[in-house]
Amino acid sequence: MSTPIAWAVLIENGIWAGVAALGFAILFNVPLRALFACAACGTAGYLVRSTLVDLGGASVEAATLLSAISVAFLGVASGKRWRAPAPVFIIPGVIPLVPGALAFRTMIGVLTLVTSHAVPDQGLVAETALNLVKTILIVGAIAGGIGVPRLLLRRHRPMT
Amino acid sequence: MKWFRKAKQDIAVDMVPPADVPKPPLGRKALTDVVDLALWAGQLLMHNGAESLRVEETVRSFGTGLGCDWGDVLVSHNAILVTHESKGEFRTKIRRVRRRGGVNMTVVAALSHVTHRVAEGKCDRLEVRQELERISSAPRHYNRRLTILMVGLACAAFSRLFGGDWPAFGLTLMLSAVGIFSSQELNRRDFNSLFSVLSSASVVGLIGGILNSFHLSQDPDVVIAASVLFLVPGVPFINAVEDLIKGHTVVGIARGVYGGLIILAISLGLLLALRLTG
Repeated sequence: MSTPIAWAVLIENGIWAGVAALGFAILFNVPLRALFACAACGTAGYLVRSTLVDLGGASVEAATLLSAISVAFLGVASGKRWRAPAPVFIIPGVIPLVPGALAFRTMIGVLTLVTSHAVPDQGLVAETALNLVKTILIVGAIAGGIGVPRLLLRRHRPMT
Repeated sequence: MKWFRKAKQDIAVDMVPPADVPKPPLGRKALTDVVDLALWAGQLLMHNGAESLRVEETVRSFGTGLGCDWGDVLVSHNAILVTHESKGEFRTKIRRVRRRGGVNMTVVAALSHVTHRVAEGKCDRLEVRQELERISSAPRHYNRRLTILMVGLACAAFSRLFGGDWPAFGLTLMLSAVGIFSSQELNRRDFNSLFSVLSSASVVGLIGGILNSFHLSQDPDVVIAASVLFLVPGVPFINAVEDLIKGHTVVGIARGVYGGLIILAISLGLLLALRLTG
């Protein structure tokens, strides 16, 4: 499993995930002092997910849930360190986990099914349905995972 | 067991309004001012992509921090309703919040600092008003060119993550830069945000389809998929789920539906473009 090629790809993807988080952090006008932490959150989340999927053999959905939870805890910690609310770090940090390619494949599948005049191909129907369910599950895992630290840490105290 | 007892105590404290320090009664005029400031802060938060619990806590802490005994806040997806009271006197006001695209984390962070200080009683109303004016008129940290470049780079990074080759990287960088430029231009001209999402997606799809007909990249699908990622409503969806978890069910559903509509608009825009270019 841990061939040198796989590690190189993992590290390269980690860097790209950081760049993606950084770009969206700038779109969301994150303060300059917090930018680096946003990129670090993006890299960390992506690395956790790829490690779990590639080496641990976890499903993408479960791995996404775990990595969203770890990004959220990292965001809370960075929020204490750089004195900003946690969502500033968490929201750019989970952007690299968004299943854009899967969603696009779902959309293309639906488009092909709708526009084909013949009887729809059963295989394509099944694949599109599976892609749709997977996309919804992954998005739900991201959003649900983000909520975990606040459910555990600040239960009855006022936030901010 | 110790932490459990402590948590139970916290609940008990949370249930009754804090009444340990006697506060002087506020006059009607002062109360109006407090309600105005609290609603201003809540409106700023809702414009810039905060979830409902944060809005509610901020509006309430502004009231209690500025001298009211208690405040009740109702956050809807497009309005805030608040009642602040002080020794029997109370004021209620509704503020409509027009939906605006865009998330601004600097505003959220700055308001969090102000709320801390207000809740500790370190600010008076004049100071709070100055702070809010400063926050709402502050320019963005990053100029437009840098934003376009960095968002383009982010989408191009996604094309690498989806397994695209280097020509796909370059194409995605260019396409998403064009896409975000057109989306900004449409938003600035006050078009409906669903319409502007649809048009930017179809612009990306059209140019992408034309460029892909030259067979520059091995994976034309990756180019288009990565180039529209800046339109994906991540923040509405995340806020929707957070609101649902924390009991703001109606707001959560409203935000979720809106996010779904944006996804639909992206798909329709791409569909239109892909049908045209084949």
